[in-house]
Amino acid sequence: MKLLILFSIIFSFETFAGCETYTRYGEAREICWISEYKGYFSKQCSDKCEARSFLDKKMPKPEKIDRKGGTNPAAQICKTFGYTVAVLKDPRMSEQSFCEFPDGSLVDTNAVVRSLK
Amino acid sequence: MTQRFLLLFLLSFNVCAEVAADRDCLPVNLVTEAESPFKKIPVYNQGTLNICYAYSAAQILDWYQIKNGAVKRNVHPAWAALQYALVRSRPKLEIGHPKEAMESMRSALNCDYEAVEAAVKSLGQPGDSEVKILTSIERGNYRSPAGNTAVNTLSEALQKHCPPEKRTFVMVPEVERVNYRTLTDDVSYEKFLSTKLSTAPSPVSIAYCANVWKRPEFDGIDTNFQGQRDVVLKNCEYHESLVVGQKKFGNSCHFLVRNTWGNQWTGHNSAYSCVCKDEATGEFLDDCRQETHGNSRYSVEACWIRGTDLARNIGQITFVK
Repeated sequence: MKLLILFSIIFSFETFAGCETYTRYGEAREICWISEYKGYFSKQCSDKCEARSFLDKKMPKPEKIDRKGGTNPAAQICKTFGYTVAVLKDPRMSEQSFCEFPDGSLVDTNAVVRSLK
Repeated sequence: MTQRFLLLFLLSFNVCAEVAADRDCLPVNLVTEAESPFKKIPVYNQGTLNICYAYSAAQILDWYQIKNGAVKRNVHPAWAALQYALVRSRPKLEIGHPKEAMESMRSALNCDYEAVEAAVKSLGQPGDSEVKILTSIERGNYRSPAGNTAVNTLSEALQKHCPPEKRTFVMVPEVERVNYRTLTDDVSYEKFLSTKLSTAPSPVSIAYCANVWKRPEFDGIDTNFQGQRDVVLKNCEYHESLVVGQKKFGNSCHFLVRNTWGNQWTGHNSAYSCVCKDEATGEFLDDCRQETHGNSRYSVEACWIRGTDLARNIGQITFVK
């Protein structure tokens, strides 16, 4: 029994250790670091989600990226793939851009860039 | 005798030149210095928004307010962009100048940060991303159900969420901009920036080709047929960022740039040394490279770039007088 409790603590630590509450225009979202992808994801991605599936595909880098002025290149890549860009604030109020997928899952745009072939 | 005099003259000239050069790149780091206002101003991420000038304006104003006693940052970049558009009767928010954006705040007062967020959110459909709403407004595509323009619609939403009695005064300092009219070549841009940081350390906004982050050899500003350095090449990804420090790496002066591409900014800055922050302890780490900051422990606060590479790509410099 003790072993089971210990195991579940370790398991939950590994899965959720890097989770923090981010805000998006006042709404709270749990965002977790998943080291396998070196990226931040919405908590639902600790199991399966569209954001994770997208990164697993290891898509080729788009040939043409619409670089308008000073827009964030990583966010622009997410947009080029046809996904929505969302900007969330971390608990220290700094901002990160995320790629939002139709199932509502989020992955930080820098992780998307790193996943490209 | 003449030779000795000449040698002495050359030596003293050399010493003077070296002293002047050193003064040009005195170490400054506005991010890590004690009581830095930047500790209260988040690293912004403009996503796909094209209002980098307003992000620069908001940060300089906040830096100035906090330096003068304000307890938190309070200027929303979208608010600065809106005031810029209203003063100049522009139908959209995208593309502008930080100097004029700051100056437009002089008459407008300020709207609480959260009120601006609420106003923006009120303009979208349920589930709309705030970036999508703002993108549509900044490009002038947004139309309210009543057919009002984007700028007017945002302005009306702010009347509701931030009525005049809730607006607060913002101290707007005297702001100046220099460009090809006073600076003639790449070297003079670098020297001006360095002297400015050495003599009156405060954030300086630069309009530059962001391509330099990916390609340090990039040269995006050219001279016109009259020899004036005012031609921004077509492939230049013109961007506005803050220069918040300088120091020498070897013999060359490097500038510390605070970008608005988030605190996990990577890829474009992979070749650069950055100033990172330990998210758990708040301690800063200088000379932090991609292998260190590509994780959940460190955030990227600003990155160092060689002065000559940056100067080749600067079109304008905006600063507080």
